[in-house]
Amino acid sequence: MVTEPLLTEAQDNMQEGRTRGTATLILRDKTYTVPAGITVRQAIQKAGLVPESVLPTRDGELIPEDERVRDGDVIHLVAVISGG
Amino acid sequence: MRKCRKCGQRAVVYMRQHRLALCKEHYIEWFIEQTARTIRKYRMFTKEDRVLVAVSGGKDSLALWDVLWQLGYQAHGLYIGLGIDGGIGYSDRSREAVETFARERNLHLIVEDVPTQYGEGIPEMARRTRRGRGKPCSVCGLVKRHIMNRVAREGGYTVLATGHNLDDEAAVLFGNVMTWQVGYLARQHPVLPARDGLVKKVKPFFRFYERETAAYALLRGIRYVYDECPFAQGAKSIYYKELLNKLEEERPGTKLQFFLGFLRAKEQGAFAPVQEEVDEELHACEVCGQPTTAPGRCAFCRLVTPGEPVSKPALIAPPLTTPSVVSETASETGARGTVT
Repeated sequence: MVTEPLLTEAQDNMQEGRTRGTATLILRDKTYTVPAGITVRQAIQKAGLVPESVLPTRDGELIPEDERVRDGDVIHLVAVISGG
Repeated sequence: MRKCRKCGQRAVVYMRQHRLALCKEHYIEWFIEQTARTIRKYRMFTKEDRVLVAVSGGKDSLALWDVLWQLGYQAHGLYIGLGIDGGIGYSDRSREAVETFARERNLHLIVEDVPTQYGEGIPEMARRTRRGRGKPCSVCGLVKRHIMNRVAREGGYTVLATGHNLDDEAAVLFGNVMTWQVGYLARQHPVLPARDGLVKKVKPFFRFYERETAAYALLRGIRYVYDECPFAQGAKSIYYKELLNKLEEERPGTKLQFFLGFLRAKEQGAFAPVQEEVDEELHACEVCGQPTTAPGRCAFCRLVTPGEPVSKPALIAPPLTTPSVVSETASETGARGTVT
């Protein structure tokens, strides 16, 4: 019985990505720490960026936005806006 | 996890405005097919045309050249060295990216180097003149438009293709609407027909989001120059793109509807050219022979040789008498307008 509230809390944390560690997003010379467990798209939004303006890559490969961010992930964001 | 609509494998690109998810292989296939469709639908050019692709070393222009090459068009590249360093060797790196790209695919590349041919680069030209009010973008646009048209004419190319994408077009449109630049609205179009010494200009990527051209370049392993032109920082067009992307986030398809709706409105007669411009007579520049709105030397020749004729051999061109386009937009800096 004592485990129930803990389980609930754990589930909440999982939803929030809090107990799954963190991942790093890198855009040009800036880095952003985001909770693991959320989608790449959510992670980009959590970093205060616009997903439409960047492409997420891992190890040089394009990754889908609905993929979950894992603990220790390093995701490089490629800025797509150019011009002047 | 989203699956590719065509094969059911893991999708890497999802286009919210089309509700379309595709894997790497099928995304590349889709992208090439869509380009071919746009070229046909808007009658941009055929396999018989000789196409000159303006390549800057950025993702869009290299992706365009790559697609045209794969589709079997006669597409040669034109790189214009602008003499911009900006502490990052911008022009040198751009040229290297373009030359590597062409060499790897055995494609024909024409290189025009502004500092070599005219004794100074774009930043120096901008400093020397008042054009652009301290920003070299206006001078850069003028020089590029002139060189592109000259090279196309000299080389017998029937079409000049640029890598402008939908975000580029939507941002220009947005800027012109914000300031109600009716003349520019009348002239903005992905296909500008040839006339009066101006080579036909087309934008085969104008229906692709910038994100899509970047995805294509990444998935095809195209090594492009990632850094922006040092002078592009703080540019209005970039600000407009960011604004439009925020709208797009809330309502997928907004950018596409905005621009395609504009083209439909034009087809229905909206934004017709103003009468003074329709009646405007074009003349051949007395030095270079390219079209210009005022008799005498064109803006380019006045820029590069304030006091003397340029050393380049003059093109022989008949006097120009019919109405034509002058420049496409005030805010554009690149290969976007026509000769002034």
